Amino acid sequence: MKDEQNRTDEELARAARRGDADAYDVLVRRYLRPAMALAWQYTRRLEDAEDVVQEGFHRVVRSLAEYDDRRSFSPWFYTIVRNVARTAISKDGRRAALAPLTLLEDEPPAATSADPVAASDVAHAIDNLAPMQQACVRLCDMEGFTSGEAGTMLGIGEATVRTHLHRARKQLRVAMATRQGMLP
Amino acid sequence: MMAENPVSKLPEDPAYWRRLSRQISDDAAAPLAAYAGEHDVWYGSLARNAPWVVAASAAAMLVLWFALPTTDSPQVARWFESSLAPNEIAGTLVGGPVPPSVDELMAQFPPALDGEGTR
Repeated sequence: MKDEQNRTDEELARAARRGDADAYDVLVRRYLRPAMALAWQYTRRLEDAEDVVQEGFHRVVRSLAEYDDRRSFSPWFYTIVRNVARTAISKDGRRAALAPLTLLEDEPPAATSADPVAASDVAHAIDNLAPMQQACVRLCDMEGFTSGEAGTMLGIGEATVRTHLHRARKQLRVAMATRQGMLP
Repeated sequence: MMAENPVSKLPEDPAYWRRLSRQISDDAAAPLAAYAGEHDVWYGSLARNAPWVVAASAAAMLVLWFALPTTDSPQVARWFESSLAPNEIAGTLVGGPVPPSVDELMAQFPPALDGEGTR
């Protein structure tokens, strides 16, 4: 099992395609949390995200025979998860309200967990961002993924993620300052 | 892969992730078993019985070793006699009382046509 941990995603996928359950277990453990974070961007509910991720992994294991192992595993995997998530939300248009946020990464506004009003202001401000900006802020600033990882998860380039983050943070700063009466 | 972050929307309880990953892995058991079946290649049974195959091959080699005639046996001598019958050219070159002259050799081995045999 220790060797399994050192194997690349592509090697593990190849082994899983030959029926190696241990290799597939390692892939599941490696990708479960990122997949949940990605699914949550679409569903906004933990239970729905679980359903999406389970269905995503189910499709992955059924599609392993079609996976081209000369290409990177992660973009292929996240594409499947995104497609499942899109299908899920198109069936159920419900969007759960965001729980209050506490802080943002390197440019923290006044909101803290001890200040629920300001925290909900941040949540509201994030809700008003463009969808891709929201996803970038949530994946990078809330879930701690790098911009490269978030880009792979969202199917966009790392530089594009950084651009979205920059614009989103700028917009959030203005929104928070306006709400707190610091700007007209 | 990612840093701990206190504002994550995802559960931090390791038991939650263990349960979910086990559930997903269990769901995959049937498709993975099917893959394993598909990839049960033609030499699979041979590979599984490799120790017996090796032992049987070694035994067969020993039987052959002892069953085949030795090089000085009459059977082998007869085989050599029949397969190495003398021919005329060899007799002329090797078996004659004197070495053949150039003319005799030329008669035995006619020269090639012009250009043949040279580069």
